[in-house]
Amino acid sequence: MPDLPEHLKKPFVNMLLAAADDKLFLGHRNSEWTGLGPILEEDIAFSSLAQDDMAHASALYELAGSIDGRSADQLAFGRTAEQYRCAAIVEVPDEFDWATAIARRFFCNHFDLLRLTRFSQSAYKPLSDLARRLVAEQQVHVTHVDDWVIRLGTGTPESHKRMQQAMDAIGPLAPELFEPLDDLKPLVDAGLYPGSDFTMYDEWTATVEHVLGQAHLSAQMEVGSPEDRGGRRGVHTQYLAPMLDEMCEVYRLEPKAAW
Amino acid sequence: MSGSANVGVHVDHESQEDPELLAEFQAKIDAGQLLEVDDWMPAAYRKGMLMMAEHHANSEIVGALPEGEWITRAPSLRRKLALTAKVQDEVGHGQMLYRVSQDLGKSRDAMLRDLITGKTKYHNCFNYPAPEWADIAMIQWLIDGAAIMNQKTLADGAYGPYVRTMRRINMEEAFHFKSGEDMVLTLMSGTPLQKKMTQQAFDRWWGPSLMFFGPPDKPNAHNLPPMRWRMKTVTNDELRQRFVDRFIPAALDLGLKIHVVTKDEHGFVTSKKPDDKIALNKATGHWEFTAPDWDEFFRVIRGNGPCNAKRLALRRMSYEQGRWVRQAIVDGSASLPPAA
Amino acid sequence: MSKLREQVELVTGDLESPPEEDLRGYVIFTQLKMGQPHVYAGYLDAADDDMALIFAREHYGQDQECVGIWAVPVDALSGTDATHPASQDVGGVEMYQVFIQARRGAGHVSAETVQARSPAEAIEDAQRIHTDPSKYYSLWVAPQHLIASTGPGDVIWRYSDQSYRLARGYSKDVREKWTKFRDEGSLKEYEKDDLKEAF
Repeated sequence: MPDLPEHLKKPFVNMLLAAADDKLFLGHRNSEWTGLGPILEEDIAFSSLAQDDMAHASALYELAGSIDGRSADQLAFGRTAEQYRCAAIVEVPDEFDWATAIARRFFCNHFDLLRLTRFSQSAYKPLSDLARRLVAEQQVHVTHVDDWVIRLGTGTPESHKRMQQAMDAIGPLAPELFEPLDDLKPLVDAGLYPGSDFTMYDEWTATVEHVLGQAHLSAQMEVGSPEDRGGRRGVHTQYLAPMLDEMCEVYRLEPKAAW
Repeated sequence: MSGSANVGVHVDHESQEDPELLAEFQAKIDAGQLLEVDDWMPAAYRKGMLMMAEHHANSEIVGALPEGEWITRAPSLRRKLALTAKVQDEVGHGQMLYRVSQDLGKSRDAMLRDLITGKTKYHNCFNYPAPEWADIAMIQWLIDGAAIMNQKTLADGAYGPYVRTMRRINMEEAFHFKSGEDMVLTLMSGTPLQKKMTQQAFDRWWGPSLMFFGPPDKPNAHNLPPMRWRMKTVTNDELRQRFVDRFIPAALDLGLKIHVVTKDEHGFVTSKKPDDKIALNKATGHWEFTAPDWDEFFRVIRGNGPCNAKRLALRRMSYEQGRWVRQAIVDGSASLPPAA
Repeated sequence: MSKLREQVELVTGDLESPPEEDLRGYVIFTQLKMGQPHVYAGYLDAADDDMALIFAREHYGQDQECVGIWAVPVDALSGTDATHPASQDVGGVEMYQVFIQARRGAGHVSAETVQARSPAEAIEDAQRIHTDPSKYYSLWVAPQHLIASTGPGDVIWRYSDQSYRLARGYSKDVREKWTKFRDEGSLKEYEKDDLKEAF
């Protein structure tokens, strides 16, 4: 593994964990639909995307672990709630509502495409190599979810109403994806995470609003104030701890064992 | 995971059909030819194939549910991914098998509705509870192991569309089984807690796996339509014997104990004692074992299995709550291609 | 959702939702490597061509590595078998894709394209090319413009490690783990019933 300057290791790992945690929980939430989707063929397709997310998370955890000495499973299953760096939008349950599941995926997928694109330009080669592959797969997700947002937004009066309700519920959570991580600036300056959060936010908003427009939907997306401490700094919703309890239920029986 | 295609499907007599056509049909089958859509087939055969594929599809769709319960609790990233993929495969198998029946004249929507309302059946073993992680390992090792043995024979069947589907399904079954084997091996190499959990899961699933192949053969099984028409190519008892010849020595080598158990109405073990019949018969080369409780089998098949109601209720919820989605994509379909 | 699974209402009886019509049927073909023909994979139902391709990619496109997918509406198929009657209605000249089923039990495989004014004519043209009936069991034709296709840059088979869902991702580990429990002879006997991964 190429070397990272010592003082940048912790922030870099933190950054990878934010991405991995987002992906892990998005995949976790969405994988639960497998076997219960509204159409058999879409059940299958949606499950592919959930697997991609968990596979992406796995790869990012491996990379983070290669720097700080923990295994991917230890990172995924072995931390306490406040040590995770995921955003609120992946923590909230979808209550088996397809509109919520699609709306949540919509905001996250576009964010991940932009974040992974910045990763693919990182000066840290193991990350840029990995991210280039992930970006190609991420494109599949964005195409898929945009298609569904538009179909459901323009489908029937009922589907439109349900999608708008989902956008109303999930939209306000989306900007928290952009909450700055601690010590992000040195990473940006060192070329490890090139680009700007402002540009990224503008691009994301433009894309998301364009698709929403095509779907005849709207979403309230207001960035919070810098004082608001959210998931990126370890302050999580009430949903994370129970989700971890469930996710880690078996792992915790024998955390050191192979399963 | 998928169904044994020989349970609960009754094939009617073909007495109304033209004897010459019937003879030609039988000759094709006896010659090992695969039937394709243009071949003449007796109505009873078409109906039998439709029901067999439907039953098999139902089994895949319901089979996805007990394992689906554990997706969120899989104890490692690899197991999480693998279990999601396995359950996804089962949905895919269900979809492909429904198509065989769709082409024989029943709509998929009608088949899903009949499944949910209990008018059609699915394989028994999916009515049992999976209360521990190790149950997932056992389901994939024993039940998928049994399914593979069964499906290899189904791929030798006579009906082209079904055989083509079985070939595709069997490829994924290889992954299901290997992943199950990997889990059982890992658990039995693990901590005392893991080994105990695995033994208890084995106690729960050994009986259902013996029952997987269906009840003991009727005396004239080889002459009944399912075998005569190569819808089924090996008898229940033959398959069951193959299964135990493979899995008894494997289980014993892993350090598992084979018990005869009693279960309560929820499917949980209430008592167990060692199966003292387990022995290799040196003369026949086959393993001997205590037959499963067939009363339990028939009780469960009549819909009184412990988890029947819950699993069908989940499927019902998926169907009812998914209606608005299906309506939206049909009504809102903007891009209709030009007529052929 | 696990809580939902536990707490699901145990409703029985007739469904509230009325019966629905199935979506449109599509036959899916996959191209395993560049330059190779497209081979039959299976069927699926979808609302339209775009949806059919998305579904095909995540279903049949994930069974084995492939680089291209075709989705052909079942309605667009004509063939030598009675289930796919060929219209004789003559129109303008169109390009038709021919698919050959080599023998009973085989799946159809893409062959050449022919130009014809009707499906029946396309079939006749194809039969003229494949003159030896023992070389094929049946053939299909479909107007090329009705075949939905993935593009050259489309990601189908993923770049991420897929070994977690392939038998070959476990074979080596499983073998090694077994050696702790049983001897070579028993293991070989046991493995005889393993399924191969490829079709």
